[in-house]
Amino acid sequence: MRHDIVRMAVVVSGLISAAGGLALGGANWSGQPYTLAVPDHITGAGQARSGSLVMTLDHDTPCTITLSVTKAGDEVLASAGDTLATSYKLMGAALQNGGDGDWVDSSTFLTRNYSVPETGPSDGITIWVRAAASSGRANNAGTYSASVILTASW
Amino acid sequence: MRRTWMVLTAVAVGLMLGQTASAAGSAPASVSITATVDSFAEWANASAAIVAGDWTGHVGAVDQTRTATKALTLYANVTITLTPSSTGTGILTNGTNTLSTSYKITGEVTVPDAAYKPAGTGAEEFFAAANTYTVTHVAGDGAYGINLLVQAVSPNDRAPDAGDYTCNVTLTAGW
Repeated sequence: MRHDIVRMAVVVSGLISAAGGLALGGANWSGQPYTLAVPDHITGAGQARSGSLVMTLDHDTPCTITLSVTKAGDEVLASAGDTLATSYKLMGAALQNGGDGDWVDSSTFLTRNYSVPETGPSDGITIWVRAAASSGRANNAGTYSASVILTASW
Repeated sequence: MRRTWMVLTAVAVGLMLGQTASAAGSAPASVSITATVDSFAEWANASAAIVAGDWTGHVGAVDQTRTATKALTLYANVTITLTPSSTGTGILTNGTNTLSTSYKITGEVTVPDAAYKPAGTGAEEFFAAANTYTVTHVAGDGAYGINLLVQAVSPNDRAPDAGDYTCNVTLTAGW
C-alpha cells in the first residue's frame, strides 16, 4: 500500500511537471532583446527608409498583440529634438488577415491590436518601421531612436 | 486502494485543468529602433534658371545696367562651403557679343557680398578659387535661403546685337 502511494505520488508529480513544462495557456516572446536598425541611411530631404525585424512568439493559446510605449512619443524616431516621420507595419501569417497591408502612422499604430487566433506553438511576427525625412529641409544628421512595446495577452 | 487512485487522479487532473485554464496573462517585448541621417546638402532646385522675365528689364540702350535675382534654397544639415564656377566664362554672350557680367551672393551666408564681382577667375573676381561662401548650419534649421544676383551692363560705346545673351553658373555645396 505504501509503495502504491509513493508510485501514485510520482505519477501526480510527473503530470504536474509536464503541465508546467508545456506552459499551458500562455505566450512568450523569445529572442529578446529586440533591436531594429534601419539598414539604409537617409541622405537627402524627403527620403524614406525602412527596415524590419522578425520576432518569435511562442504560445499555446490564442492571444492578442497590443502596442504601447514607456513614455509618450517613444514611438517616433527622434534625435536631439528633431524627428523623422515614423510609420509601422505588423505582419505575419499567424496574425488575423496577415496584419497590416500598408504603413500605419506611429500614433495610429499604438491604437491597433492584432489577433493571433491559432495556438502556435511558435510564430514569426514581423515588425516593419519606415523613417521619412522632412521634405522642406535637411533633418539633423545623427542616429534617431524610438521604441515600442508589443504585449501578447491571453 | 482504488479510491486512493481516484482521489489522486482527480487531484492531478484538477491541477492540470488549473494550469490549462490559467488566468489571463500577458507577455511584453520591447523593440528598440534606430535610423540614421547622414550629413548631406542638396539644392531644392538643382537646375534653376534665370529667364528673361527675371530681369529688371531688357537692355535697350548703351551703358545700361540690368539685374536679376534668383532665390535658391539649400537643404543642409552640416556647415557648407559654396563655390561658384562655370562651364564657360560666366559672361553673358550672344555670338561674339557680350555684356559685362558680374555677380553677388547674398542670403544666409556668413559674409554676403556687398558689391558685384566681375565674372572671371582673377583675384577679387567671382570665379576665383578663393571666392567661397560659408553657410553655417544651425541644428534644427536645415533650409537656407541663398540669393544669386546677376548684373548685366551693355557697352558704353556701341549697341550690342539684339537677342538673347546666355551663360551658366554652378554653385557647388561642399562639406
